[in-house]
Amino acid sequence: MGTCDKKGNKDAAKEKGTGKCDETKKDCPNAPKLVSLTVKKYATQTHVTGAKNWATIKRSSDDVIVEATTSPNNSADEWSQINWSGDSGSPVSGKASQRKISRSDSKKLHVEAELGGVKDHVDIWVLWASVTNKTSGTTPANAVQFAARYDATENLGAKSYNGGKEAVGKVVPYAKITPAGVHAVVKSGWEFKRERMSHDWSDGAKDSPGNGTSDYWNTAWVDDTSHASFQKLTPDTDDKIYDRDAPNIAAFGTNDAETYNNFRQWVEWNAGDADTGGKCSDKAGWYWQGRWKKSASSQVELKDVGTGSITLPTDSHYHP
Amino acid sequence: MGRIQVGDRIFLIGILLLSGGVSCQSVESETAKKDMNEDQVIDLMKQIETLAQREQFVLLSKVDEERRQLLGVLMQYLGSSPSRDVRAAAAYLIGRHRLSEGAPALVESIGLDARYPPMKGPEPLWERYPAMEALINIGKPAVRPCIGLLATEDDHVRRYLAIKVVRYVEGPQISEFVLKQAQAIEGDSAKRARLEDALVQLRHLPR
Repeated sequence: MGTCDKKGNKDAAKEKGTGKCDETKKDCPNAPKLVSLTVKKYATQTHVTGAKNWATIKRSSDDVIVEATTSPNNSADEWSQINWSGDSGSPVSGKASQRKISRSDSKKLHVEAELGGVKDHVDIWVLWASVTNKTSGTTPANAVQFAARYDATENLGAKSYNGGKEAVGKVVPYAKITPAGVHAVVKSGWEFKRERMSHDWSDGAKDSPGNGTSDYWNTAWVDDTSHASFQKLTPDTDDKIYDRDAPNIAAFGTNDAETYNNFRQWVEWNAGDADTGGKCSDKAGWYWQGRWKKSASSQVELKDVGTGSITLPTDSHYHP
Repeated sequence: MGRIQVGDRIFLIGILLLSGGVSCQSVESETAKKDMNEDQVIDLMKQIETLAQREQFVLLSKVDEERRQLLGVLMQYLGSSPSRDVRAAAAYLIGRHRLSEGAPALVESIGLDARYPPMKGPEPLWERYPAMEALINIGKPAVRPCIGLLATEDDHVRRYLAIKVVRYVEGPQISEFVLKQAQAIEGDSAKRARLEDALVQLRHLPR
C-alpha cells in the first residue's frame, strides 16, 4: 500500500519513485474525505421530515450556516480542499469548514459538498406563506366545513339566518406556503393567527372600551385567533393551510347593536425558536360590519364582510 | 415493567386530552401541556423500537382501552350530568375525538339544547345542538343510528336534527339515496311512513 505524503499524487509519487501518494486522492487511505455535511445554525429539523431536509423562515438577516466535517484531521487544510456546489453561498470568515447561505428568498436550497470522492448534501427549505382571506364562493374542500351551522350552506360571505334575526360574515383565510412541495417535508409547526380591532356600540354606548380579548371598543389590536378545531394546519397537497371565522351580529342583550371590525391574519412557523421560526407571512386584512335593531321588521340592517379594511367609525350610527 | 410505564403514559395523554377539553386553562398552561404531550409521545415512540412486535401491539392496544375509558366517562356525563354545559362539553368531546361507538348515545341526546344568548368572539365550539354537531363530526358511523331514529321517533325537533346529520355527513344526493334505501327495505309500514316524511324534510334543506 505504501505511505502517502500530504501533497503528492499517488501515481505521480510512484512515477517519482518516492513511494508516497497524494492524500487528496480517494484511493489513498489517508486522503482527506468528507464525513458529513450539516446545518450549524439558523435552520432546523424540528417539524421537518427527511434526514437531509432542514427548514427556516425567510429572513433578510441571519444567513444559514452549513458546516462540513472531514477526516482524518477535520482541519483547515482539509476544509480548503472541499468542493462546494449547488446553492453553496459564500465562505464564512475564519471558518473554512462553513458556508453561509442567504435565506432572503423563499426557495429550496440544495447545498452540496465533496471531498475525496465522498459527497453529501443538505436541502434547506426557506419558508414563507401568502395569506388570502376568502369571503366569497364556497368553503374550500380541505378547510373545516360549516356544515349545519348558520345558514347551513358552504357559501361564504355575509349571510342571514334564523329568520333574518341573526347574521354572520363567513370567511375562510388560507395560506399558500412556499416553496412548492413543502407539504411533504414540513408537516407541522404551523400556526394561523388573527387579531382584530373593533368599534362596537350597545344602544349607543361603547361596548367595553379597552384592549383585552373581551373588549369590543379597541384602540389597539386584540388577539382573536380561532379555536384549534376550526383550523387545518397540516399543509395539504396544494401546500395550503386553512383557518375559518364567522363574526356575528344578533341580539346581544340590547335594543340596538352595532359592530365594526378590522381583522388581520398571518402565519407563524416554529414560533418557539427565534433563530429559525416566527412570523412567516405578511398580514392580510379583512373586515366585518353589522347592525341589528330590535324594533326593525328585518332586524339585521347591515351585514358586510370583505377583504381589506374599513375606517372604524368614531360615533354610533343609531345614537350619534 | 417497561410496558406498564409506557402504558401509563398513553393513559396520561388521554387524560390530558380530556382535561384540556373541559377545563379552562391559561395560554401559558396550554402551551406547557402541549409540550408535555409532545414529550410523552416522543418518549413513547422511542420506547416502541425497543420492544418485540407482540409487545408493541399489546402496548399500542392500550390506546383503544384508553379511548374506551374516555368514551365511558364522557357518555356518563352526557347522559347524567345535571349541567347543560357539561353535557354539551361531553357531546363535543365525543365528536371531536370521533369516538364512533358513542354515536348511539349522541343520538339519544340529539335534542340536547345548549342555547346561549348570542355572543361575540371567535366561533364557539358548539352551537345550539352539540350532539347533532358531534354526530356530523363522527361521520359515517353516525348515519345508521340516525336512520334508526328517523324510523321510530315522532318528536319533530329530534327528527329534524337526525335528518341534518344524514344530510351533512352524506351530502345532498347520497343522503336521499340512503334514506330511500332504508325505506325500501323497511317492512313496518309505520316506520316506512316516518322515513318517507324524513325524505320530504330532507329535500327542504339547502342543496
